[in-house]
Amino acid sequence: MSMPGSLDYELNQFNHKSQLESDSYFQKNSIYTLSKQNYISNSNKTKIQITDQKMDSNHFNASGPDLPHSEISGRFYNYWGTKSKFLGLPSELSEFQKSKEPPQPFLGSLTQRNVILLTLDPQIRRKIEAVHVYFLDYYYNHLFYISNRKSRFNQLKKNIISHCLTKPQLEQVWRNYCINESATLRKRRIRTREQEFDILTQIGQGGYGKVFLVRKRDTGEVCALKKMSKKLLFKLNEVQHILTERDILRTGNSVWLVKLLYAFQDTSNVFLAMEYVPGGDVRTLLNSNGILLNKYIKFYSAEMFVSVAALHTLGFVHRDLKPENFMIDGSGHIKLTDFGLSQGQLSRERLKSMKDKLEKLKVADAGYYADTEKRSFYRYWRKDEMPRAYSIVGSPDYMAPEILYTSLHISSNNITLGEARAKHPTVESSLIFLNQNTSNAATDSKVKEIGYDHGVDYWSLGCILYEFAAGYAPFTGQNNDDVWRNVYHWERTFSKPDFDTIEAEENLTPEMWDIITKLICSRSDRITSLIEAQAQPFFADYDMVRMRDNASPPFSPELESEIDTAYFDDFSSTQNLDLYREVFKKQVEVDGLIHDPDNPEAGYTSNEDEFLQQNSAFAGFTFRHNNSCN
Amino acid sequence: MEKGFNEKVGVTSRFQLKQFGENSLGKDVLKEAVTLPEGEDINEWVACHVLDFYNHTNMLYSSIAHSCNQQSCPVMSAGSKYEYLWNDKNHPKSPIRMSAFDYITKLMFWINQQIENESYFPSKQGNLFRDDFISVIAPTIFRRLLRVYSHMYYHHLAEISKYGLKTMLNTSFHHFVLFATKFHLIEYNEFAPVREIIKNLL
Repeated sequence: MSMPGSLDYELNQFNHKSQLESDSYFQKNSIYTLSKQNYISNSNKTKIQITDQKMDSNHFNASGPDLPHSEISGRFYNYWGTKSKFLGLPSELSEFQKSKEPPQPFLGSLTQRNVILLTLDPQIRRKIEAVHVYFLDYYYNHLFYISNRKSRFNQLKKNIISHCLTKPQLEQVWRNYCINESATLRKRRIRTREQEFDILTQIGQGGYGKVFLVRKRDTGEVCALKKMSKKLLFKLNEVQHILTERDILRTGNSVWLVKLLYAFQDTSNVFLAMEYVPGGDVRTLLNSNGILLNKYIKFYSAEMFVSVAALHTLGFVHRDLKPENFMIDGSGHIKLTDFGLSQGQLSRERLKSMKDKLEKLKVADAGYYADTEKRSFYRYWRKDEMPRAYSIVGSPDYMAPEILYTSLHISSNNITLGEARAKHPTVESSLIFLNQNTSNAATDSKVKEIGYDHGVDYWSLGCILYEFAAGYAPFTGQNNDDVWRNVYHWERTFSKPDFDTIEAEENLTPEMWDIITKLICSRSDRITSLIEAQAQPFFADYDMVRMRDNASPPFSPELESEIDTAYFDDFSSTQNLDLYREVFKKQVEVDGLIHDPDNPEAGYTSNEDEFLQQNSAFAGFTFRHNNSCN
Repeated sequence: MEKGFNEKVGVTSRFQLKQFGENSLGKDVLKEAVTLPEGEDINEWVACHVLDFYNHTNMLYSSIAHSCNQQSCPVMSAGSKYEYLWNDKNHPKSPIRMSAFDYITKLMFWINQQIENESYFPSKQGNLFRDDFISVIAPTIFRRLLRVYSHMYYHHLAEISKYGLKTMLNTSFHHFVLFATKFHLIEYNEFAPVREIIKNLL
């Protein structure tokens, strides 16, 4: 997002203005009759934009009224410019450091049209963005294909001439060439299907789907395939989250984020095939170790900070960071995954349940627990339910209080975050401070900050750091309601952990406690960038932007093969399946939503009416990584 | 893979990028883009473009589908002169008048069925196209896709412009027309509603 006062910001304003002017010009001339005159007026508009581009980049010529290509040149520039600008790579982070400015989180790709788009419903906005990206990708790939194909043909001609082949040989070579080319072209046309993947084993179970370890038959690629039912996603209002996740996976070109290999759909499911990260997640690491040694905490938390910063440089805020979102890759380094809740809107269901819970806890007394109690709750009562907390099961253990305040405010005022943002389109990085409604302020003696930004992810990191040292999350309670209450009243409930042993107590060094208190604190005091984190004595041992080059991980997964799943739960054992009972319970409830008791088949038949609704909702979902064609 | 994608951009200088952006989607480049590559099977080439243009229209229409409804477009039309009725296979004698949204939904559903049909669009390597692919199957799909473009041009251009998608629509349609004409997939008469638009594009 451009800062007020910067050149970009002014350009945006300027473009906004010129766009509006030309739009009203269109209205006057009634765009619906497509006369030649209107085409001329359209090209006038293009000229205005070209001038803007000139100011922006200094290398676009106003090349006459040829509408299609002159306008698209601007698009191409903006797209690639944005794409190559911030990819969350360590080298770029060091550039940020040089400029002494914290990386500015921004929203999606930045072009002048974003100002107009900001006033639209986020779901429509997302579709428009998807169309832009789709066409730019399509034409880029298509033209690349054609030019590559030409050079292959020329190469063949050269080879034929230099080898002096006989006529039958020549025919053979030519036939082979044609067969290969046609096969490649056909491959490009064929949709990716579930049947192309051999399922090796199940490695995850979520609220609306399963995750499998699979191997793609034709390429031999091993990946994690997430399969989700379209119907469930619709019923649970989670479509937007899946689309956001797909977008992040698709845009992310960072070693710190799990990569997307394929995204595809059939009539009843959507699929995300992601890079398989074989080392398991940080939750598993924590569960098997209780608390981590200080030096290990340093390593893992440093990498977690970098991976979260990589997500922020893409313009996304995770909002729901948990230890299970951090995976350990084959070399022992961290990768961030599971972007389902990132940035997009919280679903209405979730907002409603948040509101209900918050209403309850506002009247109830804050629950205080001694740390020893917290630890025992955590260890004995919540250990089964907690670690499997997918978004629909939902635990606020690591969630920043601003999110709770904002959810409460927004749901009680019946507006959505998108609407709130539309009212304040110029507000920086989606941080919205709305004035507390007077009636609200009367009942709630605490006037809380409304609105949040990427700082919420640093709060979550603080909570995870705390858990590394203490063995339990800082605001944990006997059940989710307790946790909600503890987070809401965090100023009273947050305290230094209590330890069983001196070793454990010494493990939490003053530097570490210092950084935790700079993360679990109000937004204005919080560390909210990698640069600020790097300046902390706790991270003095590590050069955070070079973690993958210089730091050696404390543990590398011992893998027998690329398909070893030793670090994941075994879904063939009933004892393990027990751990997922919460998830299964939820799934049964949700299944009830789609099964009409009178007509058991209804949930699975697919008809035309649903087709476009769903088809349109998932338009632009499909993706295939580039190595697979061309 | 993403990495490869960006590497490609990485080696491209700003100048080349500019060249690419400015030239690639002009008339000449699109003309070259529709040419049958040396040695390629014409069926395979057309089939690949059926998929592409189906995806193009699907993407473009999805961006404005929320405002194409019973009130705004009670009939599938391209301007006031051209109206399209849906020929239902259950009632072949009496074509049905329906809203543009319903019509396009049915049309897209129908095309999707054709594409999924292995005997029309062979997916396994070695499976051959039917003899009537280029003369019957593909032209029918192209003719129907033209209606979706036409409807968007006549009734949703204002929104498409507002969303900054007009270039995308123009480029895609230009590409579509060049391709359809080159391989004789759409009869001259069928272009009547959009003749003016095409004249301005070419």
